[in-house]
Amino acid sequence: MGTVMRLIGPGKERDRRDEGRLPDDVWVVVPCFREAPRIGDVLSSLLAIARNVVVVDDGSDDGTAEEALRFPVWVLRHAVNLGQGAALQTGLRFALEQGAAFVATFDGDGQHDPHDLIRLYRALRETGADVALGSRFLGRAVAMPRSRRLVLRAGIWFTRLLSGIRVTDTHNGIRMFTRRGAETVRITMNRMAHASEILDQIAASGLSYTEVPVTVRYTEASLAKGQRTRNAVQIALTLLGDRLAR
Amino acid sequence: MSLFQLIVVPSAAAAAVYYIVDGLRKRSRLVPGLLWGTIFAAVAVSVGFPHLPNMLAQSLGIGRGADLVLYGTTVSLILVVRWVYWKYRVLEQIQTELVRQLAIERARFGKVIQGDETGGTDRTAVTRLRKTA
Repeated sequence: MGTVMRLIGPGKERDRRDEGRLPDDVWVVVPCFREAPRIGDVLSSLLAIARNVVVVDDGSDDGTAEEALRFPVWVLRHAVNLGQGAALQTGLRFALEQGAAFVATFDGDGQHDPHDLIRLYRALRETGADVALGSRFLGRAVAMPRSRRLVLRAGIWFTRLLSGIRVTDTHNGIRMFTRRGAETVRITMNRMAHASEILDQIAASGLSYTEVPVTVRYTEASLAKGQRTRNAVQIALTLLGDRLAR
Repeated sequence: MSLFQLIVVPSAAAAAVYYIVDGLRKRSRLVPGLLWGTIFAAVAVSVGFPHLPNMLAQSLGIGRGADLVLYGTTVSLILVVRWVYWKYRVLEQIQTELVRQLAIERARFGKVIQGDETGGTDRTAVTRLRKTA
């Protein structure tokens, strides 16, 4: 079972490097699918705090990769659409191959605040945890529809039952791994069930984790692309089916 | 003998013979050949001699032969679904690995900042970056 590491507040001897910018050994993986209109803004804000960014274009047909190549970031392109889980694993592997000491994941639809990555990094440094998980329920969820809140709450309870891990937000795309954490987690669920699979693996492998308050901003675009209620049912069935088939 | 039996028994028997002979001829098909041969043989026997499944069912404490067939079919279906799902997952993982490897091999770096020599447009750049890390 994964170990919870509590964030006990900023340390007196806090590393000055993490104040305004992430150190160079932190890599940020941004999975994208059909994000051409938004990826520019996301990368602009991300590059203000991070040097090493990997965009994984999951087989988009709207020029997402070309748009990303206008920025000083690594762009990896899946030849076909596999799903966000597969894109994340591709980015994680690439970042580890480049020698990353920390790897963060960050959705490409612009709903996350890049400065939350610094809070995640700081949490890993202060608690010594292997994984820092962003939580919108500890932080802020701006303009989140009530139906989405209910679905996410149901997901939390479902994950508690299935994995036995007690977290306050199960499907948040912003998280950060230490190298050990990233090497331990291996995402095999190609589509949206990967978020639960990551938690499952944290619990099973005994990785330590901490939750960090983050802000998630819902926009029309992110709501149109995000998980709908029927996706939640599909995710639950996929996880159950996979568990039964093991 | 009913019309159903007249059609099913010879067809199933022929299929059983075909699969068994095919399995015995080619070693690589031995297991599936014998498996399918046995299934078709069981179908031929069950339909041609309905009292046999009844006798077997009663000896197992089930009661009716039809129930025995139903239970057997249900268990078989569950096993087949599980096998098909496993096969699907294996194929999905193979496809994913291929696409992933290709994406990593073809990694490109975007617009290079002036003075930053870690950029590039091909795998060579990745190697260079690794060396400088």
